[in-house]
Amino acid sequence: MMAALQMRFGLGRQSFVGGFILAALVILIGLIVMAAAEKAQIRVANVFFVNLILVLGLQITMGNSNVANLGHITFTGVGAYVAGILVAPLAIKATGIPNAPFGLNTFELHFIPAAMIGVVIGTVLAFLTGLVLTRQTGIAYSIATLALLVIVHTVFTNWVDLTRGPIAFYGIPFKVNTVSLMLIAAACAIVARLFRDSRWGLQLRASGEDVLAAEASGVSVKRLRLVAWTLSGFVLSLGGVMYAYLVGTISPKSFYFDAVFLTLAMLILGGMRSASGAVVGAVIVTLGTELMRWLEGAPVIFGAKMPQIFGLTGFFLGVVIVLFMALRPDGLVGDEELDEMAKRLWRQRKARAAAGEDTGPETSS
Amino acid sequence: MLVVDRLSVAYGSIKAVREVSLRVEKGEIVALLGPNGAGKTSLISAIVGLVPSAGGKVELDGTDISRKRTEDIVRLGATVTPEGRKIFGDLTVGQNLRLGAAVRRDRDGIAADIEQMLTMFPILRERFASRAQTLSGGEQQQLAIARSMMSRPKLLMLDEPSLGLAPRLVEQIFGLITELRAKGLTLLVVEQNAYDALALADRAYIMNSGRLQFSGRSEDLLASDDLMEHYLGTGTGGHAGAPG
Repeated sequence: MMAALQMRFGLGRQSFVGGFILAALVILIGLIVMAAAEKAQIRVANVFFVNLILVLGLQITMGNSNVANLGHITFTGVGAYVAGILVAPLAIKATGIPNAPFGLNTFELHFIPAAMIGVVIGTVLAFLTGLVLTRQTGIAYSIATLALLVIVHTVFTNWVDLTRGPIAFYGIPFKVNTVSLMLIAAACAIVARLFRDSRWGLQLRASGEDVLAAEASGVSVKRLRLVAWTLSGFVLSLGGVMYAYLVGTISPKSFYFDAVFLTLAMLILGGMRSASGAVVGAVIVTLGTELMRWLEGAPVIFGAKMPQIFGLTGFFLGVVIVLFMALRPDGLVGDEELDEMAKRLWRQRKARAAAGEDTGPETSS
Repeated sequence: MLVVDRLSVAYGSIKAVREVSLRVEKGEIVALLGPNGAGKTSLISAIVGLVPSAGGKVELDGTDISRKRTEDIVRLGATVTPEGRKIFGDLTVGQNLRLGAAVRRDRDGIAADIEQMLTMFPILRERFASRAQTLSGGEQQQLAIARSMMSRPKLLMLDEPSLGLAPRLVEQIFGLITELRAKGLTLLVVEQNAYDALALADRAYIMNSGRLQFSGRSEDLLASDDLMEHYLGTGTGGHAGAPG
């Protein structure tokens, strides 16, 4: 299969190796948490994996095409609501959404087909909205993605018969755990890495640098953006399903500006131009927000009682976005994947060592 | 090879190109000259569909391409090397070359053509794995041309290939253009550097304010100080001291 992928998509061996290394890193994080952490920390790790899936989904479109996407969480919401409503037990639906349309309160699905339907509907919606959105360029595109978020949020909030409106939809069975979440996040990391390195990803990255030059080379920028947008919709709605199965209760505000900002901050901090950046950003921002949450709770540090400060987490995310946009727009990882960076540094070291041997006496004197 | 018939380009209410007609025959080098803002770039951008035309017709080898998308026009064999050496600076030299073959699917052919480009431009072989932005200006122009060649064009349109290059490098690039013609390519070269371009080209068109002002053989233009002065605002007097 690998050879076929190489042929068809122009992927090299390093893309696969790098993808698996990144996936292994994600799994390692999960294993460490499972071995060492307490229940509260495992809960944090589970949410981290869901967020990581979302950040990787965002990276696929925004990172490669280099155009801001502010509406990606739309598909997360769609995936979560579709799967959540389909899988919820009849008793829950009888009290929660007694007037559900399409007879949705007359049956309940097994969690796997429900998940599949959630992902399919999210992906199809991404494709359809992408047909319109990818005709826009630059700032119009970014604003349009934001408008999409607001439109779908309005539907979630006001289609009370279907979603219970602004009140939380509860009773979704818990169907995922740390193991399944980390495996799916790892798989998404591989998908994001392979897409980035594929012919499509390469062409999209070129268009992100210079749309005109890419088009002059015969790159179909609109079509590639649509491909990326749809694939991203797939990953994001999968993340939404995972979220619903993890927390069991969803409400429209779970899929709104807070989630958009959190995932954006993760991607920007880590570096949006690589899948590695998405992983690094998700890890660091999660650690950072946990630290802020701890500080918010007025802890005692070195015997001194800290004052209670509300809103530190939001403040922290805002500061992360502003600082990185201003000082390090490429994020921590930059535009190389971690394995590419390691390879380059290794090569440079070897070259330096070789040069040192050649001119040994002179350099030491 | 290329027939442009009364092509117009408009940006909103501003007409950048007004009913320009020109032809390029197979195997020719044709220069498109004129001052900054004359509409030269708009014209070739419209030929390959990078900007929509506001009327007129373009034919490539008898096929009407006026309504086609750029990728299809590139596939049919007409490619533009944009002005200002628009290489992809964050990508490697090798990736830039691969991108030039965006419309092609023949993996082996692409690999063979990359090899051919590396033979033609040895500096690109040396810098194959480096980021394109680390190349010098002249090297970037070579890469831009090599990238365009990767689509296997029949007609290559170069937009200001000498822009911002030192005289020695201009000579090198112009030498390359002659070499490309010897390999069977047809070239339309947009230039402000009129003398060097005329020394190279078989024929020339001169544009000003969106209109075609002159068309004729390069040697006729070069031979006549009056024509040069009239259309390009420069007689031989203004050219003293320049190489050539």
